[in-house]
Amino acid sequence: MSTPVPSPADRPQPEITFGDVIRAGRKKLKEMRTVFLLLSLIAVAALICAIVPQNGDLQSYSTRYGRFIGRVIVRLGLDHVHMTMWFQLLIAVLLLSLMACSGRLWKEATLRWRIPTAAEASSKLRAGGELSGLVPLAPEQAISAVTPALRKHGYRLHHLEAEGELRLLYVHKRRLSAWGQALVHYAVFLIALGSVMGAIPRLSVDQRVTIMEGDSFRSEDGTIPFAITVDRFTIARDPDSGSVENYYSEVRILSASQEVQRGTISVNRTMRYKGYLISQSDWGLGEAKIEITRSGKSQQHAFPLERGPGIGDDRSMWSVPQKSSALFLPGSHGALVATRFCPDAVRRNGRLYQRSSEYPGTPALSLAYVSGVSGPKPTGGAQRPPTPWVRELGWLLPGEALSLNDGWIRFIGITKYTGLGIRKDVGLPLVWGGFIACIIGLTMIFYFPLRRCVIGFEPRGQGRTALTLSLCGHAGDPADDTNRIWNDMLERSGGKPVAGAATEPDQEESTSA
Amino acid sequence: MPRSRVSFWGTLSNSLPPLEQIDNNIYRAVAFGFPLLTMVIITGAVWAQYVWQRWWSWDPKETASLVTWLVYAGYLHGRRQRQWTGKTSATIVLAGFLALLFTFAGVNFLQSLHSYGVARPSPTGRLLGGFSDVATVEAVITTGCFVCYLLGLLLTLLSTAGGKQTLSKTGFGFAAAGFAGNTIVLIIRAVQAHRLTFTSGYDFSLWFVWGIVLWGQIAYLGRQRFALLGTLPIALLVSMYGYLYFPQKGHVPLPPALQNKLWLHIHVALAIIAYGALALSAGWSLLYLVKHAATRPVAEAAQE
Repeated sequence: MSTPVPSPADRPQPEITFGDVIRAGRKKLKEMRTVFLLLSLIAVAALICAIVPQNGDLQSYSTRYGRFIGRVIVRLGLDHVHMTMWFQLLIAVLLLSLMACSGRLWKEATLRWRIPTAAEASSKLRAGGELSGLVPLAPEQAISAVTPALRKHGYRLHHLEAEGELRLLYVHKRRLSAWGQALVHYAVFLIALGSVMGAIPRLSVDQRVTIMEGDSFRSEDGTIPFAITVDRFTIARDPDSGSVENYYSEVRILSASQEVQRGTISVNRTMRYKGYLISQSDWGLGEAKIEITRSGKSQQHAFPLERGPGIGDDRSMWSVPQKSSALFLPGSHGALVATRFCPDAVRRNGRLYQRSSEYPGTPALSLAYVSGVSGPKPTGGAQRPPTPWVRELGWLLPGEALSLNDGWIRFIGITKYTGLGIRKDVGLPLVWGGFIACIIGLTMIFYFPLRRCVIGFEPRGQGRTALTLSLCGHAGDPADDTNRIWNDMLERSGGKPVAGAATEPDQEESTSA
Repeated sequence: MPRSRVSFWGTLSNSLPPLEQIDNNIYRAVAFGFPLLTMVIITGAVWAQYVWQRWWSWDPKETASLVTWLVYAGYLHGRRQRQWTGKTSATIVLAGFLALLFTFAGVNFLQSLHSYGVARPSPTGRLLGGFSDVATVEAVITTGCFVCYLLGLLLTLLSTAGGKQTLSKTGFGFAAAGFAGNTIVLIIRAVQAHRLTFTSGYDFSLWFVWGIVLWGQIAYLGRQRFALLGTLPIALLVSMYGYLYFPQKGHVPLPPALQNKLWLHIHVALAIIAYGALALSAGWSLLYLVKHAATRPVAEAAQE
């Protein structure tokens, strides 16, 4: 009687549990191929970041690359790569992969750290020693003879239990470096974790504020628990070249209206308060101030300034906005407007010349009177204003004045603003720790690598001993100074090398990896 | 196959060290340069935190250096974990060095926080009063360096192909003379600027070349007499870039962000040493690929 053979479809399928999936995922994450794929994808994303200017708008990308590509860039988030979901996901998977790898590396480091047992050492020698020699001494004498050579090269010696007649010596130097690889992986993990934590808005603060000289900043939503007052902002220039040397903001920190800290912030010189880092970020010209005196009464007015097309369409030049705010003059059906601004001018023979388009310099402001424009709507059925006309009033340097019908206008000067960065990054300690660990780890791996080997001493009769050395180094490391030490050992023990031995490190750890 | 070609490839193949040795040299140079490259990135990040309040801004220079770091990290992982050796690993190291050159030079074509400043006319003869125009002296010495490096390369190449040791020594002599001139120019510029000059592309090119030739010479004196054959073409390439792309030779005033001499010197000095060591690895990789290509025609000829 024959039993029917079940078809493959009828065979019971092994049940896949959640644990299996996790195990398979962990295994995949540990694979070198996965790590390379992740690193390559991050590298590609980073290259896109480098080539495509970040944080632009659709219009700027359309102008630069054409309408279609501009839309693709914005749609795929290539305009803010490092903030996109897919990039954050890549970093998260890399973190998981690093965690998985670090576990394996920790185990490997533990293996390298500990002193092997005699059985492990002898099996290593049996697997094939790299260097062999014959010494005309008994094993004990041979050990005594080679010991100074090994100590001279900085090795520490461990006499292992004898395996029959075979005497074993385990030597190593820079044992701490066994942890180097694991340390670097943990360091990269820390750096990535720190950067992710720093990007979480609820945990960190990253604000840029502009404060006029004499003004204060107070966070409206209370995210920054203190106020900053800027007393003075100055720009220092190199007397020889005229180039900007630094920007200085004299600030006071106020908490509950009480001054708690005072100091000067400049580029490369920050101020710390309660974990917040306050730094010099940028600067600008805020307002051009004038004073109007009419009928014996004075009032001040400020025209805002901005970067834009100035004289000669220089877009980087400070100028008054095209739609400048107007100062309505009561009772005149007209308004005073700022028409042009020059950051650095000079007056020669009554005429004004632009000296440069850069500030600091001697600023100049051009004013005009516009008649017939309606200010705030007059109440009580006022008469219709006459047809508008414009009269250029001319350029003014700071301190200069020009006359009005019933008074005069004086250009006081300009007010600068300072841009301050206020940042609190909770991930920063992790990043710094990661940096330090990374440097230490790499130094251990490449500059002070762990060196260890097993040396076997086996009696060969007639007072001779066979010497075998097996390196326990990393497969990638060149043999380095092993030959030198080996020759020194043979010289001190009066031995001779046995031909045919290879000098390359073994594959032990590579295959286990 | 023509006899002359076989003979040329055969001579070249015999003159260069064994492939295994070149491969180990590549690894040694990368193993020395990679931690330094990491330190360059880290010191840059720490400095950026103080200047721009961000230790990482995804600026083109930062990004390019990260990509370079990833390529070398990939090589080291492959070498240590998967025993990647031979043509593949030499090609990866060369790719890493191309990424490094892009970090140094290519980024200038992109909008970057690390853009080099525009040079201004040199303050002539302020400190070295005996000369009427220090810039001219600098230019003459630098041109001499360039010629010396070129002659050094040619003689080293001829010695390799012809198997003549004397030519190799003369080639080293020319490279050493070029290096001495290069050092003198850097000293003159440092004296004039009252600091080490790093901030213009021209200055950094001079330093970059200096670092490359330094490592080439150290390797040569360490009995790796083909190191100059690998590194001098790179030195010439970089110096030509410095000449052509940054024709002005004056000093660039430091912008406010760079007014931190401690970080400037640490960061850039590390970069020079790291770039030099990695250039040496690229030089060895070039020689590996040449030797690899050379052994093939020899094998083919043997078969015939």
